[in-house]
Amino acid sequence: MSTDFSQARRYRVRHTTKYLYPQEVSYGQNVGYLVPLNQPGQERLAWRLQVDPPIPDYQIYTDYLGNEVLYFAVERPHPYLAVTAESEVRLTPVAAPIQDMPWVKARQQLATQAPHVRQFCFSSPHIPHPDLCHTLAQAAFPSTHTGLIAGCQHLMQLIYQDFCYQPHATQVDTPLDEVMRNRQGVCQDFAHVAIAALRSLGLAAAYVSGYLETLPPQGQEKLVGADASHAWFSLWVPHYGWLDFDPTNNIQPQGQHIWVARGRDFSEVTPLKGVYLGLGVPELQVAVDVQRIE
Amino acid sequence: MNIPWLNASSYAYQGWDELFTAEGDIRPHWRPFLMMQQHLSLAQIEQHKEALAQHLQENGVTYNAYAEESKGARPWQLDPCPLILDGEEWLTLEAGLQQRATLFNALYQDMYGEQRLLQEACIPAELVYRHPGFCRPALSLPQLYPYALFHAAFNLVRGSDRQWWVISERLQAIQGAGYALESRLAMARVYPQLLRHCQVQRLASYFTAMHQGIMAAVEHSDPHVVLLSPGPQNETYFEDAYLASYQGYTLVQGDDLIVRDGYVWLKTLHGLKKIDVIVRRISDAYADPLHLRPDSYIGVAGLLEVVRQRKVLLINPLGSALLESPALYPFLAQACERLLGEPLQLPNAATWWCGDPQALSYVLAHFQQLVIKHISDPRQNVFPALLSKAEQAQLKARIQADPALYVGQQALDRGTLPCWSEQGLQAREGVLRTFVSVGPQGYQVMPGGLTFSARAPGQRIISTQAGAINKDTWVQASPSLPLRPYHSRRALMQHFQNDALRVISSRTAENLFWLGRYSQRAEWVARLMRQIIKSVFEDEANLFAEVETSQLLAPSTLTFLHLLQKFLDLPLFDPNHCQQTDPVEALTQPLLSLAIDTHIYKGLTPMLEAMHRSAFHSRDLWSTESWRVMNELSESVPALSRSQTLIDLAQEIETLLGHLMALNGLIADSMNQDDSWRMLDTGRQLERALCLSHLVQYSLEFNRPEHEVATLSMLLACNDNMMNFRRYYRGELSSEPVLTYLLLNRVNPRSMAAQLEKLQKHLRLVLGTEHQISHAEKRVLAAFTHLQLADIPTLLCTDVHQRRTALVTLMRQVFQALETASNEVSAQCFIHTRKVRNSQWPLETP
Repeated sequence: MSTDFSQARRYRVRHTTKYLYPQEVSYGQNVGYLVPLNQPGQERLAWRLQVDPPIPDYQIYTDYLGNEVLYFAVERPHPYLAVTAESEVRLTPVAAPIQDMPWVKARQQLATQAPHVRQFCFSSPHIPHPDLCHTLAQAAFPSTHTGLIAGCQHLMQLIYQDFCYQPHATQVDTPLDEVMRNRQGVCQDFAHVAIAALRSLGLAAAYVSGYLETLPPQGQEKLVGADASHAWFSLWVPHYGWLDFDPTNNIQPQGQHIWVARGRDFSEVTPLKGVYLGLGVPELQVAVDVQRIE
Repeated sequence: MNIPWLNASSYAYQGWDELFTAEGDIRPHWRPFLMMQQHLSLAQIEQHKEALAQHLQENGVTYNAYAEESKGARPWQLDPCPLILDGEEWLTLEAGLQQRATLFNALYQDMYGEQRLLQEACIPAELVYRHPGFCRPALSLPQLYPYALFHAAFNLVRGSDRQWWVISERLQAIQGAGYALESRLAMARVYPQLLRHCQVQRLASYFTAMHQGIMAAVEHSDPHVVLLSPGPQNETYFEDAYLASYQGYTLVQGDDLIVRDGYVWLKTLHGLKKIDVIVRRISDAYADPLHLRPDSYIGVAGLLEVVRQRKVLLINPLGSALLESPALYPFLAQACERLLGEPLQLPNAATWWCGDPQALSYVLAHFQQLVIKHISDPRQNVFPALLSKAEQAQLKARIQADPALYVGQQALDRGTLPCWSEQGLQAREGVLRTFVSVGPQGYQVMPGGLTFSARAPGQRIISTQAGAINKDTWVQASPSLPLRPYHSRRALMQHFQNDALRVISSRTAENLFWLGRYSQRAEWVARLMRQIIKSVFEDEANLFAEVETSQLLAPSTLTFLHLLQKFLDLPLFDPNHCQQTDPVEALTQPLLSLAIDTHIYKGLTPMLEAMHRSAFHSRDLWSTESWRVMNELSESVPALSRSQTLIDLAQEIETLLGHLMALNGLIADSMNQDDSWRMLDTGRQLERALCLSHLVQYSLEFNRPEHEVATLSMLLACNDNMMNFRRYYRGELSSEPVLTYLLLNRVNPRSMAAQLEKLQKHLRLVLGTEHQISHAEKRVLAAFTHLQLADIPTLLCTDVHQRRTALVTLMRQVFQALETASNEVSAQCFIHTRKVRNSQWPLETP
């Protein structure tokens, strides 16, 4: 499949999360960020939820960050819970910012931005001390004249080079300082590192939860369910808005990234979390399938 | 006035004082108080102080009451000298407090609504967005008009310039109003005429009006209101229970509530009951483990979603923690102009938010004159002037590392107030906590409050942790503030009659059930121990044992010891050892440890502690009088532990049995015979029948004519039947009449048959439905039938080994049926024992 992205693309995403409980669970409630965003460059065409065991209804509302939140309860005994969100989106090319500006100037302009943008400059639950990544930020933005976008690209590259992608090295709650010390982690950790570095400079940066189309090695069939949910980050560019960077792959999204939610860090856009009445720790299975349909 | 305990020179004040003017005259509004008290001696007032302490202790008023980890119940200390405020001055203060509540309400609505103040940079964005109390999910919740904040507490100090200053506020879980009320009741008890004479404004109407305010905010005409407490481990659980029972709200903990079908429900004995209003006593972050802190075990999972759908009213709303930030102070005057269009009446202490570079340099330059406060953690409040140079430097470094987290606040030159000491009145510093809530006519202020005073003159840090002493606060009637009429509590009383109130939560039911079981078990163990000690001293065989046989212990004592071991299923005594030493010596240690040792979980002390814990969990159901019985019972624990000899122990066991009998009497005579009572009595009857079946089985299993009289009298004594039996049967003690009396005689209220009948009745009312009896009742019915079909002479027949097989079989059947019944009760009633777990989504990435 071509990576040329000059025309609109349509994707169908099927994201299944399955909890297998050690003992039957009598009741559970869940909150999820599973509905793709509508934003410049991405249009949500369809969305469907399937829950096993079946539930009579669910709630969806827009939260304080503009993300769609899903809430549902399973109010009867169940040995497992399977949640499948099926989305269809259309991606269209978006014009890049016309020109770069010194990052210091961008920081000054932030002061006059709306408060809801400025909140992305500060620490957040998973990034309590952005200063941990200040040295990294200085390496990417060596002078006050360094361009905002150029510096951010440099930062993305630094993370890509210096950090080792290690699937089981970290957990959801691995703190940032450990990631910095061991220089290894997964996409979520890399996004957090970049966000912390940008915030340590006083810039606004957000965490993006979404999906990525993966291409099979040449000559091989694509396997169903082989994809996974993905995470990257957004930089706030004055007079433009959010500009995205994927440090895990060292690319700026170009027709293969699908946006689900944007928050201050992972904790605000966790794909699915819940509470249940029961004992033991469940076994979890996740399957994501991203299909380009035209 | 010449008053022995008021000496101007030892009183020692500078600047503003509540009692004295600068010229050394007594302020007019203190005169009626002093006139009434002047004839009292220092010693008499000390006695009053003792009486207050005793009253509070009897009512169980404690702070950090039953902190199960520390066991540090700290009594509430009440000063016999109140803080008296002049009515005219109060009116100004009251208006200022009403305005402040209105301002904070508007601030809440703006911060979680339009955010005008942030857009217009009236308040710096960083101050809000970096505050951990800024509850983002609350931005998606429906806005509440006209009142979002239902109640608030403002802490005030009086400057040496006479001005009242606000130093902090409480807007989440608001504590202290119940203590204020209880302090007033204690004062009224000790000084009934004094309060009348001094024309003190009453507090009760504040609570009635607050209740009316809540009623006005819900559409439902008969709403079910619960008070959500963090539980008995919390320092202010006493107040939670006290307010719940005063206001007629159901006292609940997070586990008692569940979200289903989009509503919040209370788990009760009779299934789920819908909840309309939650008055929370837990902080924002812990309210909902699904949406907020996942590690919270005191909240209600999914609560936010129900609030979002307007299916429950939460008081106060989530997110109020932000408004407790002292960093808002520098911006309040401007916010007041902007939101209310009027100047701020009641000033707050001058404050500098270090997130602003200029303010930061001011704070660092004037370090010594300030209090440093963390924006979200009041425990970090510190007076730099009281720190060493090194500590000051460390603190400065902490602030500079992240200035936005700190404020500097002017350390006010505070005025003083009169405080009671052993030498008479002394001038000390104090803090006045005032309470505001929504009433039928808008925000109303409690005419009084809770004053905390320093432990010693000159002391600056005033907190309950630092041992502050509490004072009742009297607002005196004046020409513009006449004594408010006694407000009828009818509105509240009507609410009391509503059916929702008779509902008890599953948790309460469980605690009462176990309280019943523990109380009976303690009674049986105590009686068995008593019988053993008695036999040691009274059985002549013990005295002549050595002479006549090779055994030291009388056969009866030995039999009882074996019985006790079997009954408890514990190896307590080494029979060989008992035979080698003096009987008294041999028994002292094992019996004392059975009474005192906290590790022998079937022993008396753990049993009594478990009883007290269960009672404390249902504290709101106990009247003051009945709570005294519980208090006396818990005092048996230290009393038992002081015993050193068998004689001491015997005396303490007598006292303990007396208290247990008082509890029995209370349960029989003084409790409403509702579901709470039925659960308690179910536990008692069940345990009694279990104990009896056990003891009959073990003591009469073998036919041993030589021990028969001793064994039978012990059985009767343990079931508290000795006297009654003697009155009934005049003859010699023999197995048949005794067994008939213990098992089948309906005249005997403690017979097994009588207990099983009561049990069936309770279980039918509590668990049964119109058409079907419960599983638990079926078990009891089975036991009852086995018993009814039994024939006493047959039961007493023995086999070739002199064993009474039929009796053993029957007692086992009864025992097993009752054990099963107990499990059925648990399974059907106590569904909350399973905890909610969280599952987080682990990492899966390309």
